[in-house]
Amino acid sequence: MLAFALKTLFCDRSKALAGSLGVAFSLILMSIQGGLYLGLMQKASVLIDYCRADLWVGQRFVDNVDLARGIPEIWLNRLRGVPGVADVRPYLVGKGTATLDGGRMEDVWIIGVDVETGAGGPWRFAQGSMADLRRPFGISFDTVDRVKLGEPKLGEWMEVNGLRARVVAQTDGITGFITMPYLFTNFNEAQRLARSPEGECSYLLIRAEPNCDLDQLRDVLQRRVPHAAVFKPEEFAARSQEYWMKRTGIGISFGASTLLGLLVGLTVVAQSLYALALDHLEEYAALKALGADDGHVIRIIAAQSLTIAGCGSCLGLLCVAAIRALWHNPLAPVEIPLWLMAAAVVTVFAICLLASLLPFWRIRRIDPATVLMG
Amino acid sequence: MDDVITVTNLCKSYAVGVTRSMVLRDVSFSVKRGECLFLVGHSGSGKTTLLSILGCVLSADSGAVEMLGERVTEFSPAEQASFRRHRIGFVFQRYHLFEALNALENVKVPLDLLGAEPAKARRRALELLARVDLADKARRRVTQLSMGQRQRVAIARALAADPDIVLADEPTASLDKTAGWNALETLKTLCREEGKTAIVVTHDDRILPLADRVLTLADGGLMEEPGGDEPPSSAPVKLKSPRRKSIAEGEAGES
Repeated sequence: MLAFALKTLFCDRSKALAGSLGVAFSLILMSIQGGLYLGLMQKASVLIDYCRADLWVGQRFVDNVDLARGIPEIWLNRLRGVPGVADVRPYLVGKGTATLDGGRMEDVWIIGVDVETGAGGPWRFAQGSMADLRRPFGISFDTVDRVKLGEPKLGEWMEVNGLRARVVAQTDGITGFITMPYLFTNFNEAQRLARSPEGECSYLLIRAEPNCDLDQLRDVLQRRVPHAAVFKPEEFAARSQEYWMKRTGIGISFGASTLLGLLVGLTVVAQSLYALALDHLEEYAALKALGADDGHVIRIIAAQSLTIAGCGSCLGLLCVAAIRALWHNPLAPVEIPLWLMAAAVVTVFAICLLASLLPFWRIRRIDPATVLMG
Repeated sequence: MDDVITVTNLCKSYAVGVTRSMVLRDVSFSVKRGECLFLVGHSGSGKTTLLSILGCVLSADSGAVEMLGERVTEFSPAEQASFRRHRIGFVFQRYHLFEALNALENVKVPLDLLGAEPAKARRRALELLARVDLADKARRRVTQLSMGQRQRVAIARALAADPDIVLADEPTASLDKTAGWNALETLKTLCREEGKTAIVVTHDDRILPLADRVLTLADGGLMEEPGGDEPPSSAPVKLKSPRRKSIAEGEAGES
């Protein structure tokens, strides 16, 4: 019956095309919305994702990597001797205000990293290097923030929190969830620029010994610093993402638009298949008179709807690839992992099968006697 | 020859406004294996209704139809569909071929419905197309065929699933005299060669000589005429006097 299903479908190309476009639209909306959401969420944990620390130690109630709270740097000594700990480095996430030409001001994050190990440091340099951040007053800024920061050039001076800082490096594509510019510098310089209290840092970054059980080590460290919170990177990343998701309701917004895309796809495919069925009611009646039962009919319509799903998915995936190539940028990253694409394709196939119930319901009501009785 | 179809006291009526119009009244007859029976009668005499009941696409009000040893009037819709698929071949008045398909694919449809192996189905369809002299048109879409050719495709399709009974509804209605005769001759020859029983509904007197037996429906009742190569007599022999009973009087279902 596959020949009947497919030839009947493609003999009316306009309906097949309309259905495929509906599927493609659904798939594009799902993939791009999902990709934007994942990209945005990734920005919420970008410092953690690229940090290369095995464990993070932060203030007990910290919810978000960017909105850090101070902890005593001295805790570092409590953790260094713990078996399984290879290295501990302080990390600072502070806030500041850059004063720009003409008196304009821009709020910035000041990130103090350990330039010796590079832990928590910038990872994509357009100009300069990690070594440049050792230089006195040296800071980096990112290409995406160039305009915001008054188009600074390497070697130029900036004023941050009323203190002098010198641009020594430029990163490329490092930006956070709320798009305040990240200025990376060495830990001591960051303490100075952020006017952080003496002996205080935001996090302690732990590098574990090779083959160390991180869950166990985390528990041991937690007991050593009971007033702190110890996280594995993925846990802290999830916590940071969840913070923005709950605070902003962004998940609902993205979910609603994705659902809308699904509904549009469902409607268009159902409408196309239904119209196709209406055009061929006599043929279905003849088919039933020849002995086709509900099983045959559902298989025919399912074959048609899955074909529409397949054509629409191919078209949609091509469009998604093109849109991603055109759209993807550090400010609005579109992260479409393989699992998201697979989920979108599976969903549109399911939607198409669901949509086939409408024509099936109509064809089921056809009386085969009409073929003989007129 | 044994009876493959036995119809007993079959009644059928349709609602017309608040009353009911009786179309078949206590119709009884039987058909033997391999027989080619023609059902004739004027328009509205109930020929197609009777054929629809025999084809398991319409339910009777009362009476019984036994086909191939099975009481089909007691079948559920699913059983009816299965019976049609396995035991009955249809030739429809307007052919009802599938326009998107070519001749070969049209003939294969009943075999596909049975889940036949594709290669075997294709072989059988090609063989039948060759027997209706359309082997060279197998790949043509049916819309590219003449009416006579379409009718032959429909005949091939009716025989594809090797049914025991072939039902044809006004198969010559859209054809001229020669094409109509040829189509019916082809149907009869194929049915005879394959041992099928055929029931042909027609009001085309020109093809009656092809019948083994002719039954005439009039006023819901049945009369029999001689068939075969003899010309039909002008005065049909009454086979069984239809019992004139009124549905309104609640007697329709009684035998």
